[in-house]
Amino acid sequence: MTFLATPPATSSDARSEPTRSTSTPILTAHGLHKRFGTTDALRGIDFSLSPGEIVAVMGPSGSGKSTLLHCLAGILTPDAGTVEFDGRRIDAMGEGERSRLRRTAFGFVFQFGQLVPELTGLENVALPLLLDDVSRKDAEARAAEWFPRLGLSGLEGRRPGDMSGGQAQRVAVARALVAGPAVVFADEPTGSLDSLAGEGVMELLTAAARSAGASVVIVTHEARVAAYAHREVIVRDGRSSGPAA
Amino acid sequence: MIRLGLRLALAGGRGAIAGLGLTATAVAIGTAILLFALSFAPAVGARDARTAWRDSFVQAPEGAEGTLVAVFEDRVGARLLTRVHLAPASADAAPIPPAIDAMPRPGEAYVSPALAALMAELPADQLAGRIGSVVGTIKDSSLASPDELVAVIGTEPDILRAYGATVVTGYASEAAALDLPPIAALIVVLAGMGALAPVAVFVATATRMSAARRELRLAALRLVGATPGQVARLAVVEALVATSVGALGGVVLFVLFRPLIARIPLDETTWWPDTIAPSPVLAVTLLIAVQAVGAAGALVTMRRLTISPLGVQRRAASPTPRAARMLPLAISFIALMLAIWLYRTGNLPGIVTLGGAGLAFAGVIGSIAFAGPWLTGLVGRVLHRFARGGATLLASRRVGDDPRGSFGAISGVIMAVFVASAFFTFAVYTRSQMVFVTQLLPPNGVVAWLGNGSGLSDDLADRIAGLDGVTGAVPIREVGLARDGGYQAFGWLASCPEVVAALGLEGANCAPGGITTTFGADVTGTYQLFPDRTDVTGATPPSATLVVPGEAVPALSAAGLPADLGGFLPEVLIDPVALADPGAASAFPVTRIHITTDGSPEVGERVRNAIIAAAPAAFVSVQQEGPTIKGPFEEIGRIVAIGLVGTLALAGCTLAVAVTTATLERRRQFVFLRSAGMSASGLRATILLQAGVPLVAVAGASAVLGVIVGLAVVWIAGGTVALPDASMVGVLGASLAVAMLIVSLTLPPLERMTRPSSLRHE
Repeated sequence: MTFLATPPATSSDARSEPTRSTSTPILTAHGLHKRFGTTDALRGIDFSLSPGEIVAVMGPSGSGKSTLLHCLAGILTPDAGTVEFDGRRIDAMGEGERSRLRRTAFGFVFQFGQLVPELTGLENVALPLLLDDVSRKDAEARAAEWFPRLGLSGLEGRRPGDMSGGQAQRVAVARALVAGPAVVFADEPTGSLDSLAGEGVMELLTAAARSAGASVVIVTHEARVAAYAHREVIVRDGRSSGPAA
Repeated sequence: MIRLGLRLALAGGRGAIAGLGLTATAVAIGTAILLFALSFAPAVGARDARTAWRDSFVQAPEGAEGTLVAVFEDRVGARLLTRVHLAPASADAAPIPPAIDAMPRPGEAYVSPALAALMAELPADQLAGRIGSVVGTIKDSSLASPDELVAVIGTEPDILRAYGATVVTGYASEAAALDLPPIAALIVVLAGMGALAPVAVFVATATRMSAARRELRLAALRLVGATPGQVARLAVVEALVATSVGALGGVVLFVLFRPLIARIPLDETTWWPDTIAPSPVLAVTLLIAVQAVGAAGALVTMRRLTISPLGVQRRAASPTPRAARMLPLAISFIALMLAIWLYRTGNLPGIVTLGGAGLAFAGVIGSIAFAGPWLTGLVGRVLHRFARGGATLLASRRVGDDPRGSFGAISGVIMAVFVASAFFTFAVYTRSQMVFVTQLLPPNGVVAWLGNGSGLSDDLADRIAGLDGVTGAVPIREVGLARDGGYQAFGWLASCPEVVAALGLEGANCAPGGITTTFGADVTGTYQLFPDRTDVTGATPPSATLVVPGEAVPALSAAGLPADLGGFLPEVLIDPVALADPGAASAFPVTRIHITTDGSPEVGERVRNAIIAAAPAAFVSVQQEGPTIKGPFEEIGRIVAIGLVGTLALAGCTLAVAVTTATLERRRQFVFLRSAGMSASGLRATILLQAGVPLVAVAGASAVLGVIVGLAVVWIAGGTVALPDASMVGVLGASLAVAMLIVSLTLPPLERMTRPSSLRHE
């Protein structure tokens, strides 16, 4: 399943005109509970995400915000509660189906170390397509289109070890978007970058997602990162204190 | 520092203990295998010493008194039965073997415990009849194994004299040195070296298993001020914890598995468990060597890393291996050929050239390890060029980027394949050296034949024919045909139609005149017949005249007559009526009896029992027991085969350990990839491709090299050069499949360790 067929054009100012979508939510969660050992990471959180919406999940360390993201993305299954994407219950899917969903409908940007060090930038971006059985020629052609749009021209043949942190994160953004996802999950995407590089990555991520029509869930504890979102959800002790939808 | 190292190794939580446990387990397996390897020679020596009393004697001088001894290899079903026949050569001064307490009288016997049990199990007319009445038990210390079937049988002196039995004045207590042909000795040396290399690789690979976790710990120590030297010492201490526990575990495994290993037969005989033990010096040396390998492995690993206070980084990748890495392989190959040629010419002492050959062979194996990364890198680059899917791309990049690491993972298998291919090639040569005593028998056939000795007769044939289940018994007299004082041909004096029936040669045509040649031998003329056997009694041998007119000797012919029958049948079958004096035939001794039965094993044993009871020196084959193989090569072949099976299984374990280690080192990336949607099957494909593609490609090259080395060794050593048969491809293919199967066993735990839910720990 491909939600976006072509890479978007980037906006020069991603933070301008943050608008909140009012259409039917594409991703919803109700009453999520998750426990690790004796620790309750989530205690009945509700969440919803509209198409094209950018939501920042904020909270202190250990508050459960990453766990929430993992449950929403089908990486973890909640102990209780439901997660629905596009009318389908993710929490009831098997691992194989959830893998397929993550591969085709979701994109991911993590804090660091997510690129495969042996692959070139181009191959890293093409990887989700290759894993989805797209031919290598097509996958690399589609991946190559993202490099100029994200200011990565010339880095196609470089390995992650030969890139700066900001460049590697932009490659990760390209990889998250290359398959045309409906939702991009970003877990502390600027956590390992300086403020300038972090802002660059956030501008590109949100602008590219917006023009591609993708929703974004950003987990962060930085207010300046959260400022790129349409809405903030605050998680504290496994409960949300911001507006659910 | 040592205490801190121990604390870091042991107090690192469940994960650290698990990693340590895995490493120690792998080291234990490798150590146990090496202990068994070191036990092989002492075990063979101990076994030979136990049976020396019946293998080697102090022969009495001409006319001296002593004990008449004759040893026969017999069978009960498929099991080997050793019969030692004894008789005092004179009234006194007849030494008794150490296996028994007193000289058995004719008809009495001492038997091994296993034989006693079998005699109690089988009816007397199948076994006890040829043993006699049991008067005692053979001592354990004189038996090769607990389940060996041995009988020491008191026999009439005349029977043994007729056989030409040795008169002995004493029995050996130590095994005679194994008299191996030079090439056999060479094969043993090379096999030993080849088999040990993969074990060393396995132990070295195993010590790397928990290294990644260790390196992170050591980086944290650098942050609080530990010097690189201190960090290196800590790494050594941690590695030694695993290797010392592993070595100890290896000893425990060795002791636990010894009774099971003792049940693996060699030369149809199992072992006394307590004889499987290495010499103490070698055992201690091995245990120390394992520690040294572990410590050296830790230090080598540290050299490849920059452990800074901010974390661990691999040093910049070494330059891509170049084709020049093939050079040492060529040099060591030439050195091996030179050493073998010098060994063969005998210009230098054998020990020098044999040692040189061993070193050169070790050099070839070492050179494979050196050249392997270049070939592996080449395979990776080719694979990347043609990669289509994500798994292939990941695997090819990994292999091409780290050919040294990738080859390290498969080096154990590659070396085992090299050794296996070389020895498969040797095996073709060794088979050509085997002496086959072909016993072509129909499924319901039994044959008895004599070397020396007596006891077969027309009467015995009649008696056998009267046994229940026996459908025919043909007495045959083996004769030589002489003309002008010279030996011309070998013949059987017997009825041709009866022989044809006994051998099951349906459709074969016998000549009407009573003289039938086989396969067109030309025996036209007048001959003197003489018994084709050695008569040690000094009696005048019988003779007879045979006139063979040319037109009367058509060749025995039958549609579908096996081509190899020529090695079994005599050149001419002579019916007694064809002799100038037909009555002269009966004066010739019966040397063979061919019997046909209803095909049941019981009847076969009954026939064998009756024949041996009447003619202890007779060899009896029941049905098709397969060719009897003589010579040391069969033994060597079996040793090599056992070694190879173990080596290849171990090499598969090495691959599994290496793949696990490599995957765990990249666990973080795999967790991210799987979180981003890489399926479990994608992970499996990546791991299997990463291990399998270089494995198959480099193993193929290694197999070709092994065959070339094997052919060259046989050629230079003067043997007949022949390519190994298709069974080599089958066995190697199956071995590689087993190696990949072992790798696939690691997939479920690796899948668990990289599942998306692990992301919260990253």
